[in-house]
Amino acid sequence: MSRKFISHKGFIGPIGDDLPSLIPIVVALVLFFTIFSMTLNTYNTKNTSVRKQMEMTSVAREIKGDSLILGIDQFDSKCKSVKVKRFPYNFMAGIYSSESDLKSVINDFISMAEDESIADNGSTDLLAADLEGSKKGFFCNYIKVGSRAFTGMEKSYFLRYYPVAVQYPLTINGSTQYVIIPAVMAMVVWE
Amino acid sequence: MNLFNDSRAQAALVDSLFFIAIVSAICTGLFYFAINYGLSTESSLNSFYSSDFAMDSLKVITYVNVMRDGSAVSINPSTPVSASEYDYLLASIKEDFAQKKEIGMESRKAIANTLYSVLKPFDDSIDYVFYVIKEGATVQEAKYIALIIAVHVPSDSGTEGQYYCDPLTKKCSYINRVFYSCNPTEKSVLEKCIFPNVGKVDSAIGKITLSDSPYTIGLHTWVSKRIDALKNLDPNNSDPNSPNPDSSNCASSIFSCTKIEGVPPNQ
Repeated sequence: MSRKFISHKGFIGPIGDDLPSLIPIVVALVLFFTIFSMTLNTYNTKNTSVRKQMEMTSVAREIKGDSLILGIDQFDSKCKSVKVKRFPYNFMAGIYSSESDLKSVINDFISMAEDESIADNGSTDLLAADLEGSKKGFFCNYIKVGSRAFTGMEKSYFLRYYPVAVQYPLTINGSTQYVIIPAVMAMVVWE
Repeated sequence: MNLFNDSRAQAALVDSLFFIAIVSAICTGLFYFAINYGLSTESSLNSFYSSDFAMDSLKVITYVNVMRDGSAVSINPSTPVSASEYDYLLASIKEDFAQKKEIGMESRKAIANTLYSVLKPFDDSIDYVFYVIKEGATVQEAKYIALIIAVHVPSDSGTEGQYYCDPLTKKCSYINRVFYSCNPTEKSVLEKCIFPNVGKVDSAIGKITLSDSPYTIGLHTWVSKRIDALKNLDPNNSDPNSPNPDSSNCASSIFSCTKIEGVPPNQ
């Protein structure tokens, strides 16, 4: 009886009695779950970034082949071969001649995302092949179903350049001849 | 006995403090993991991209057509190409080598023009060196068939947007891309004087055949950096702030360079 009385001395209640020890426990749990969610978020973001770059490298390799593009037909056919439904990201690729100003690449891509036909009409610096009077730009575009067009304001996108040699028809002394010129393939990948 | 009963809440507090200590240690580990995760993969991917870019640039050199005077083939209708004037760059190199056992200035200019075209996306930030050397040559018989060094050089004139002010010396100047054709006497001049001083170097090495013998072509790029060996490559335009040529084994004079005029085309 006497012992029972002593054990209840200063007793507030089951929670109230342990309140000072609950505070560090709650702080520890909040700290743990905050850091855990941050780590998980970083892990996922970095994994996505790495995967995006690897897919970009893979598509770029497929399009440029051995760094020699023999004409607009070959470029178009390689472009079609990489535009498979299961490809996880959106991409655009275009070829610029060495005389082009590469500072306008992002603006060109934003414009071409809105209206793909401007790749063919010469209003961008994109290399364009002459097809019996009409122009056709070296431009490849893939947007997943349900995705938004490229705006340049995406949370994360990758822009990379790849050197290529392009066989290009030139009219020399009245006849069409094919010369191989150095060029740069610009490619942007976004989600 | 009373003493133990009175201390029960304190024991719970110490337990919770131990708990927060353990959780803090775990959180520190998680935080460290989050900061460092993927860095080596990112670095490997960037390194792979740079080396791949350099290798593609070498391939492009072996594919392209150039004008016989060393300038690039223009697709601009205002500067029409005359049929007899262009050739493959590789054919031009082989022709030079077959005739003179060296690569002529027109071909060197064509190589510089092609390099400038394909490395244009990174022109503001990188310097590079291209060379042709006999494969498997010993140090005694080694000789550069061609050595082209592209660096950024401060100048009193230049294009808008290429203006740079040194934060230490407060001196401002234009920065121009300049190509040099060099004939160093020593094979290991790059390994000894440039590569150890410029940081990370991305390299691509290939093979070509000249007069039935195998030759190595190489392209090495690095983030642009002013180092003593590359400060004063032009003998006609010596910089008074550069080191005395005799005071160092890596003085610019050992490269024996001459400036390639007309590359880049707009300068």
